[in-house]
Amino acid sequence: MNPRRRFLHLLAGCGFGWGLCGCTFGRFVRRNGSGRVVVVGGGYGGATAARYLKLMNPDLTVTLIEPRDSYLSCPGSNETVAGLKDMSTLVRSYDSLRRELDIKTVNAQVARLDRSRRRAVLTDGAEVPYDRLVLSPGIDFRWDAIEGYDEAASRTVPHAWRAGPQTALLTRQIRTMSDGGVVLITAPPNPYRCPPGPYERASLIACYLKKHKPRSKILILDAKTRFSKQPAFEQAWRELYGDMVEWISSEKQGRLERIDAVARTVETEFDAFRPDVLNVIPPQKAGALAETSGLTDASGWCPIDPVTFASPYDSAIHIIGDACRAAPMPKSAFSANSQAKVCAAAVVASLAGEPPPQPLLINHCYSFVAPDEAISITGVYGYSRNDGQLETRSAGETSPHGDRLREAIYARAWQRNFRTDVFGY
Amino acid sequence: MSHQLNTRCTFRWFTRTAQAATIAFTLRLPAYAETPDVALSSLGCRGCHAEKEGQENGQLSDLASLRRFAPGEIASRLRDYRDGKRSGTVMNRIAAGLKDGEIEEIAGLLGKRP
Repeated sequence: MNPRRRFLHLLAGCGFGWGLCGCTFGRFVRRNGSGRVVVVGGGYGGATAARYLKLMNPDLTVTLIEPRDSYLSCPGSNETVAGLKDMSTLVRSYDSLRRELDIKTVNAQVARLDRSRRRAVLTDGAEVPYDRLVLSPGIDFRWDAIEGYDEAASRTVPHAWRAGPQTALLTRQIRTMSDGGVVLITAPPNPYRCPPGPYERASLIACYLKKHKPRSKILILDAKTRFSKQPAFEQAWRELYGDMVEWISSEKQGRLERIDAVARTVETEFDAFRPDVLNVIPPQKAGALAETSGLTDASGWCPIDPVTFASPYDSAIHIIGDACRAAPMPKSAFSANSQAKVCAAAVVASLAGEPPPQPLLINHCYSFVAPDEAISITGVYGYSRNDGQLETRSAGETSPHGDRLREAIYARAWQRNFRTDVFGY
Repeated sequence: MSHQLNTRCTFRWFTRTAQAATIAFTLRLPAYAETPDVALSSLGCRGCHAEKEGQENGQLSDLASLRRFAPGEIASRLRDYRDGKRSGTVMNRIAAGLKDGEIEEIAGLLGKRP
């Protein structure tokens, strides 16, 4: 018996009495419901959903639609900016999902959703029918939010908030900056993808500059008055980088008024800056397909039912990951992974004509502050029937005097294990 | 004689099935009540403690591979993390979000198989 068949056989054997056999999946394995599930978006949310749908019900036809051949991981991309890792380490392949779980991958862009006919329409006009659609489109940028900063401007002033050419552009600019230069990062208002991301980036750029261009400076111009893991980040900056990193609260500078990408200037309500490297992380919203399909609300994000992640506007569509509004969960790869499992269980149950299980979700996120030092933030979220929302059961972050060396060892292990849980290799 | 044997066997089978069904029902009950489905909750743990299908120990890593531990040991560690009797990095914070019954059941699902 090949490994896949053996595993399916094992799962099938655990299909009843899950508490007795100790099999994690037993409770969810179904062979009494079939259907076509289309997953749109092959990032951490979409890939996890596709994988777990198939693990929970091998009889489902699962199709993953994603325009790229492989995924480039955002977690880890700040390490490439600092030269700690090569970009190739960010590549995540869909081979294992295809080969071992028989997930169909369609290398194409979805132009629109035909909701009344339950079809995903691709840019070449081809149609992919579904019984349930899991949408994991990630984020898009609000190009109209900052005067002077649009998609064209981002070609010279990178946001680097999607791994790929933008990451490479920012890396190049930092490499070619002369010693004594200023790197300015603008951090967006909440909510946005990866709340601690801008501060991890500042830390790792500082690590690079301390070694190669020690007279340089990093400014973080923030739209907020406080930020994720703040005490631990600030303690690490003091200990590791002296006064090289300076965080400027919106209380001090007020609103970001405009950006001139050609002159590379930033104007706030009270001041103006002309850095040598400018990294603008713009305000964000749900990925474009969610918006054009009428699945977003006035916030720009997708409301969802937190037990099933189904849209209140369309019960055949579930939205997970950064695009959905699952407060108090932050927008992170781990949140997307946790939501994808809850969503997969709900889809499998619904296709079998059963009620969805009650969720308990986890977020866990590491930030590197140096090559071998990391800090983390964690949350456990339950569902409150009283208000129909997720509620925080426990939350916490690394204390300013936490064990950063030990956390870095776990953070590296997490990167590898997380890839296994999401992409199956 | 053979008929009697069959009846006895059938009766024994029935009793055992009824017992198993009762246990299974009791264990399944929380899934449809106010409390979370612990089997689903345990999948969240695999975001760090990943397990590749068919491999008992998952990928080699510096994170504890949970299949090596007996459920009782995992449960006692989780309780110790939660109650501050054992120091860790993130596990104290995660265990703080779990209740007693959930800890036992999650440990049973993630630990060494019988």
